[in-house]
Amino acid sequence: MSRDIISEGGMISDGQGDVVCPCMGVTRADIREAIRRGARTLDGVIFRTGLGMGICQGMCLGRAIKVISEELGIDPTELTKSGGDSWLVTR
Amino acid sequence: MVGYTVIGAGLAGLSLAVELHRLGVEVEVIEYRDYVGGIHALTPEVGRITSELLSYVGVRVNTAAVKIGNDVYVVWRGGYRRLSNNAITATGFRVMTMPELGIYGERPAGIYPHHAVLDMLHYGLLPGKNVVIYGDNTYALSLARELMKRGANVKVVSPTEFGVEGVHGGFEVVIGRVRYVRGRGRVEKVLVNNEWIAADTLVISMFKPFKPFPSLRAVGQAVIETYDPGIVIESGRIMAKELASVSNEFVLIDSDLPVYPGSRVSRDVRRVIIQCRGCRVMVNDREYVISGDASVIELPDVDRVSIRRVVS
Repeated sequence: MSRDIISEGGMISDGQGDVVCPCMGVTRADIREAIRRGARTLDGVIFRTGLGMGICQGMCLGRAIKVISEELGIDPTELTKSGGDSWLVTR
Repeated sequence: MVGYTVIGAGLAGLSLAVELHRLGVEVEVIEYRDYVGGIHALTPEVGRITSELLSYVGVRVNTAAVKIGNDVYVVWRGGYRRLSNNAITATGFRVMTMPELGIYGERPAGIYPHHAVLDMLHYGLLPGKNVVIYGDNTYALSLARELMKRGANVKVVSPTEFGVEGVHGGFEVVIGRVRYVRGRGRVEKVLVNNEWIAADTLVISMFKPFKPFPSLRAVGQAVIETYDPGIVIESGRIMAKELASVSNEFVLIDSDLPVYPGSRVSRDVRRVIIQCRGCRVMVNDREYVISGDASVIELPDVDRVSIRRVVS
């Protein structure tokens, strides 16, 4: 996780400094890694990163939906919370 | 003079930064989002104030304050640094949690905090087509108007009549409490009082002050539960003057009501915000009436001040 690199004083680049969830310190690079490990839904990313599990109750979800869809290469309206009819946004 | 980092480019953070700048103190403003204005981003009259403030100070957007271990870091694309204690939290309100609100039931897709919906709108997305907004304040109403404008059906559910009197926005206002959410994949209906309302989305627009970094000082709605933009702006100005004050003389305050910025204020500032909706208060031997949810009070030039609510 990007937050581990920061706490150890390491160098970060690009997506590791693109914070999506400030409460839990989850970045775009962490979301990318969660997807590489198989996450295909919002809950999949939450499970692997802790995104939105902090004290602010997921105030970052709007931005998270945008970034996760970008990293999956899909339109945000195609992203689901947990598959099936759990769609997240519309236009 | 030391420089300060202000966390959050909403009304409070910008007001604080502009006042610090005016007092000759170095200041930077960081903002997690890629736009400024915070919760007031949909409020045109406040937007004008925000733009004016922005002509005096710059803002580093896409730059977040993150707590890692015991430290707070400023993180941006390509870099980070540890924050000193010369940082002030201007993170505004958070939304209340489902347990705090007493909302039972399932947790399908389509339950969103107010702020997440502001971001969706900013990205040209809608949270849903049939939206229940749960809130009793001006922000809930602004959001309802904006969603209507973009083609959604909206109902505002407000637990009190107080914040939503005389509203005409083309949407229905129901006085009551959201008690239960039902839906397997997506929200299907919400129970308001004893009646089910069909909806695909529930937006929570009930707020509490949000201070994610307790060791840092704070301004605005991060510490004051007010819906008055004037009070938010004034809290920034008061904090700026406190930070810039070089006097070592203080007024000590003994109060039975919440007092901003605290129980010890600089003798050359002597301005506080007292929170108590529609209350009468005694400040030493003078009586004040607080109109709205909070008021700015000028303290007398003495060592000690007593603030007491008058209960009649």
